[in-house]
Amino acid sequence: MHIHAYEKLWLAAAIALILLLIGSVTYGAVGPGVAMVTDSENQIDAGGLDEDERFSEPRVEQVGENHYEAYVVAYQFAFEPSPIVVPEDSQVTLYVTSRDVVHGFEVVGTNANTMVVPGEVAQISFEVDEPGEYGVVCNEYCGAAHHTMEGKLHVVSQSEFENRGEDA
Amino acid sequence: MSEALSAEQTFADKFPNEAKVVRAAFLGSFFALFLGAVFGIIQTLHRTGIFRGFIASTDYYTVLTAHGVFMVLSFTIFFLVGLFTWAVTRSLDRPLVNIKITWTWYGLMAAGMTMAGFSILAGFTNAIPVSADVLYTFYAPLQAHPLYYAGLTVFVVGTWLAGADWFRTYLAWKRDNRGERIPLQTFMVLTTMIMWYIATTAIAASILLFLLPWSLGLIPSVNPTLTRTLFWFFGHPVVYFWLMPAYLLWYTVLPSIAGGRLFSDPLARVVFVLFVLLSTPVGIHHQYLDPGIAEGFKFISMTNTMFLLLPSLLTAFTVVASVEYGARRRGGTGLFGWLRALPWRDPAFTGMMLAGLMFAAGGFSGMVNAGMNINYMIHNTLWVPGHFHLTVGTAVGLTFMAATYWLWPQITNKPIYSLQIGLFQVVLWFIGMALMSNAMHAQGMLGVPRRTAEPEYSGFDYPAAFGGFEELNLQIAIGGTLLFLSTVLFLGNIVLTMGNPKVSGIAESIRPALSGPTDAPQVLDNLRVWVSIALVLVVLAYALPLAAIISDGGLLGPGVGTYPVWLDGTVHALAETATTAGWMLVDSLTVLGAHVADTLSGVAP
Amino acid sequence: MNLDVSRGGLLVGLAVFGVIVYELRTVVGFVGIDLPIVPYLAGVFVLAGVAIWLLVVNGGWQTEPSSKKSS
Repeated sequence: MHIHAYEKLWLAAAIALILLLIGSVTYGAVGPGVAMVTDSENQIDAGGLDEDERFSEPRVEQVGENHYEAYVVAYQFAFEPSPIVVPEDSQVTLYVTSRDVVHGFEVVGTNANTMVVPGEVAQISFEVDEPGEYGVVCNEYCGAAHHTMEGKLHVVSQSEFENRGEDA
Repeated sequence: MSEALSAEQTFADKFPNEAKVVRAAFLGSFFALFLGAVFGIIQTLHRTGIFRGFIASTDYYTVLTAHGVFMVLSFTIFFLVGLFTWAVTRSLDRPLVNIKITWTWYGLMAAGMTMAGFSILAGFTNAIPVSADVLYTFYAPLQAHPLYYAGLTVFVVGTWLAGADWFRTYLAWKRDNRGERIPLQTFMVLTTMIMWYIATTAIAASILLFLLPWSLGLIPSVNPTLTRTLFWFFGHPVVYFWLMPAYLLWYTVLPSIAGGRLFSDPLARVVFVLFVLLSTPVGIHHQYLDPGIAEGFKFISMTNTMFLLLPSLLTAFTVVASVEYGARRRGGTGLFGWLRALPWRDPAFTGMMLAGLMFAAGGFSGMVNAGMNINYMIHNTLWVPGHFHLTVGTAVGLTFMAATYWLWPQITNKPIYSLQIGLFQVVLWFIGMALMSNAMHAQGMLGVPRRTAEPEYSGFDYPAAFGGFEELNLQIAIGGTLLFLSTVLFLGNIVLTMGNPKVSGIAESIRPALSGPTDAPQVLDNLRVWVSIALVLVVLAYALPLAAIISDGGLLGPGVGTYPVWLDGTVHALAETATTAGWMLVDSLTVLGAHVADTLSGVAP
Repeated sequence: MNLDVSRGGLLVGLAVFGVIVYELRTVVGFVGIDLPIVPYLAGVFVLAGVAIWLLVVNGGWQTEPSSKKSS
């Protein structure tokens, strides 16, 4: 089979590009520690969230010196808790599940993004630095009022975080 | 020279029965395009906030389901079956084995799409207790009326029968032509259909084993992750089902329109074989953010997906080389000057070239989508529709429209009503799509979600980059309006063409490739080898993930609900529905009969 | 430079050129420079006008079908 010289060159360049792309994605996964959403959590009963230790009371909890966990429930058509309040300069791990249909959870303007599937728990971790307010959207169609489904993520100063319970 | 041309027969002259089928398929395709375009303009004006008076926001999702299904299942696939019927008949130079079977599969496709279409459109009114507001991806536990799932099944069965029809015709040809290489167009049809058969097994399983019984109330629940995975097993190769007819046109028709010849037949075969092998074991790249699937499986899918770039990059080379050959044959000279010698006034040529150009851009945004970690920035944002309007919307859609300008006269003996309007239309599509898609990509980077009726939220504002959210909305609306206008011009041109009288002497032929089929290694034609390898790759990519999903959550899911419940109960409810439907049918027939009687009595002297 | 272009070729060329220049604004926005859209688009049209003027001055474009059409 005769392959033109330019074609061989193009083929080589194409394969080089492909390997470069695979390499860069691999580096991103392995190097800077950009972790993927994976099946790290067990199945959960979507109809029985009220009996679940984590999701019966959606909340933010401190689990380490600078490490906070949030248990978030998505349902038609809101997120609980909203706002999710975490202190500045900390590491945050979110556990998100759904009571009913498939939802999305994205912190707008960031890459904190995950599918929320009933029966599954999605785990994402990220670092927050300065105080600020972020919007959270449901980006997976979930029913007729999908476009109203939003939440908030507040990064507050350490003192505000400690005092937050008093206003609840 | 003109005597030779007038003695030459068009496809409609040589194969009138097949030409009728192709016409019917194209008309079905354009009807779907029309409906899809109407819904498209409603969507674009609603979502950008320009005009929200057509529908309530809660009905937006009915519009979106209709737009998706009619555009990417009906418009594309009806065009494909018409095109492939033409290609097989023409390249084998013989009629199909049994034209009755051909009309049967066409009828099945039409019936299936009507069922599904009805179930979607009935969602606009509460008077009919049927709807399918589940979007083209129909993720459980959102549920559609059983008519939706049943309609899609009938439609797909129709396509299966179509493939069998073409395979049968090929085998009949093979008996009379032992030892000859498979003609290129037939090779492309057969390989595409092999890929389709592999791909649709999963969606058929998902619908027949889970979604349809679930919507009929026969099983209590489904496993959302399992049905999602089965959908995307199908959902990625379906884009190649859309793309490969466009490639068939770029490889076999475009070079001749450009005045040239296909650069290399063997490499075209290699490209199609690569698609058979690689299209299916990549579906999990649509599920990078799914919590029920392990990272390792996502990584494997990512590497497979990156290799899928190869056949498209090879196509870019071959298509440009073939067109350049044509340009130089027409007298073009210089490093880039040959571009000027091309038939840019021909809408078929220009449309396909602009579609190919836009596809390159779509390919780049696709590389971002495939990048497992960078995907997190744009998953489920408006970037994704920006990407696929470049690929299926333009590379496929615009190529189909452009090809129609060339092909319609061949199957009807009628010249196009206005080639100037055709040229204007394809360029207008390019401009409109550039505006809309560019702005969609930018909004996606701001985090604006897709599939949403009102992307403004009360709690926050989007980042103010790329001109800002409102300005980008305006660009999307203008782009979408231009696209709608372009579609109207296209459809109007075809309708007016149908009114033209038949003429003779408009036959166009396709020149043989520069490097022909005999230059291709024999193994390329050995379809059994490629099917086997494809199946092995699919098993490697999907056996473990599916096993993991089923063992974790169970076949029927970890106890998930149903939203909404269409038919609760079992055979009793089924019987009730059948009775209600039966009476509705009787009522409508009565009304119809009365109307006909009135008309007849009014006309009778 | 031999400016032998047909009317169709001119139309397509302007469309492609216009789109590329328009998209450049997004690329520039990516590196942080936000250019206001109305003056920018006005500039695109002015550039297109300049291109057409250059063509007219250098002999214009063909409107007859090319006689080099071979089958």
